[in-house]
Amino acid sequence: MLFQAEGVTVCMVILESADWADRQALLDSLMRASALAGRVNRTYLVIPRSTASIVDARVFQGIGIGLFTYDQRNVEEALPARYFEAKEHAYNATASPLSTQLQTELHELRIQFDSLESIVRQLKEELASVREARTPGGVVRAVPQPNSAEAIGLASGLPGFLTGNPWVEVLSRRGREENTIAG
Amino acid sequence: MSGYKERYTFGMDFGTSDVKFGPITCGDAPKILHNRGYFPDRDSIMMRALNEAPEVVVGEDVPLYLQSSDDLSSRLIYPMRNGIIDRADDKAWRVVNEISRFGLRMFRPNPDEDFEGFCVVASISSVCPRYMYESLFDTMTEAAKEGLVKAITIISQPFAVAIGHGVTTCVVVESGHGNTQVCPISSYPIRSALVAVNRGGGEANSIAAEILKDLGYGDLAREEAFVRRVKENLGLLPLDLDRAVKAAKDSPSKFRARFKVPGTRVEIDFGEKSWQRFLIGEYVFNPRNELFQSYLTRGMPKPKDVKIGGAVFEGMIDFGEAIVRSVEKCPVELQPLLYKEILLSGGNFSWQTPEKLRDFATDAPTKMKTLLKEKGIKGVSVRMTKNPQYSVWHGCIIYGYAVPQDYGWNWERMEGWLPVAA
Repeated sequence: MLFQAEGVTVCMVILESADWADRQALLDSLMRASALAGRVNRTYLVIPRSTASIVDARVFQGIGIGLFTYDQRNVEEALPARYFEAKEHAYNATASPLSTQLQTELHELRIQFDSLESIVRQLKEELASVREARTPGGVVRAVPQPNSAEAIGLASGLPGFLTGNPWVEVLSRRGREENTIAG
Repeated sequence: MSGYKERYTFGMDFGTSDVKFGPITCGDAPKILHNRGYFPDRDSIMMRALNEAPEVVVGEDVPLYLQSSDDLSSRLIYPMRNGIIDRADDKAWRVVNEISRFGLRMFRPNPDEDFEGFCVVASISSVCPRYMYESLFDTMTEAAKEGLVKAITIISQPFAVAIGHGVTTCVVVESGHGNTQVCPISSYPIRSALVAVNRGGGEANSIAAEILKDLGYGDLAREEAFVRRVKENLGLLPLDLDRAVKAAKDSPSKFRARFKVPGTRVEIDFGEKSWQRFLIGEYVFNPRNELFQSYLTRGMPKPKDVKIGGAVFEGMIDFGEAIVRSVEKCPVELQPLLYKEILLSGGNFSWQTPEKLRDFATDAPTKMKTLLKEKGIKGVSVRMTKNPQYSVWHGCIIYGYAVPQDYGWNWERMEGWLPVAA
């Protein structure tokens, strides 16, 4: 992802959590980030916050690449990127094909999105007709969501392994009888 | 029976590899976590930048914090690898503390319920010394300050197995990674008859690694997880080792051991040496056969007699002998009843028995009967526990539910409830 403002170009190479598990994808991203240093003014690697602890930041600090971490709520700059004088021609030379490629990808994505939208609409209609057929009164019961805390309150009856277990009787007499075998 | 305990009894099985925990409302299966904790390097640049690394990490987050593999041995702590924690092992106790609170917090009910803390039943190895009980009580007392614990009690794992299995008079043989405990039960665990063996699944791994080295897979033999897979997929428990080895040497193709690791190009083939697959199972049950001598003289660690926390763990005693010794410490009148119900518990007793090798490879109960027969003990009944993975946790829940709340903790009986609510 490229940003341009006030004559400064910043490139962000974003790593998804899934990429993190794929050694090849990880290496590709690191190589891409490394190759961009000098072609843009600042280069950042953007990594999931949960994986940040296993990154040795000194390596990135050494080559001037910065680090952003993100989770579902925040994006933070963990390590600032060093400023490089960018060779403008190098960037411009690559800008055009990059832009064309992005436009093509955007177009393909739009087609896929339209197709998915139509499928979802169709599924919604089918679901509505099934609901109507199965609930003559038109009443649909809500399915309770699993929740560990709620489960405690909702659980009824005791677990099956307690049923018929002779120890329940033996142990319930503890403290009310003398035992001669205890070691 | 108390309505409170019907909802808030909480079981915690501290196994050598995993902790199984959860309240009575969990149903038949508890939650399972690796019994381990990771101490991140809090001085590293990223940890400082993020300013969020806890002192110790437990649960599913551990892999997210793992750093250099060189540091793993000092930073990734399995506190109960041998069932017992040293009194002064602060790191191990820190992990136990964190895991306990992690488990209890996971099931804390809504604040508007009548919750006064869980009635916790923890289960640990039968050979644990008194200071481990005291430290665990301290851990739960700390958790009580958060309102998580109302009362705590601790029972031994073999006792919990017997309870979970619904048998009131029996011998429980519990075999874990590092050791094996033989404990007779007759309404109470008979502590004076306890026999501990310094041998478990780890020994089967050791001999499997030696065999792999001899076959030219020395580089792979260094990976413990890989060796364990070889043991589980190729290891066999012989009915009679000498007979099985002779048959396998005479007909190597029938006994051929081959294993391809899924998703890799790695394939292990014992080839002409496929008879060695029988050594893996035999070594756990009876390491005294002379076939093991060559491995021991070449440096394979020999299971030694060790004293851990006041209990002596014998290294080379066979499992049949261990049962006989344990039972013979009990009253004579009780002995026949104990032999009639021998329960085997733990993953170390799970051995495959391929159909075409049924005459030579056997399961753990049959092997145990054979070892006892050699010692003149006949008419025994040996069974695997119905649900080996959860039987200790089931026992904890039943114990906590059934034992009256006014039955106070007694150090002589090592039973009863210790109230700890803040």
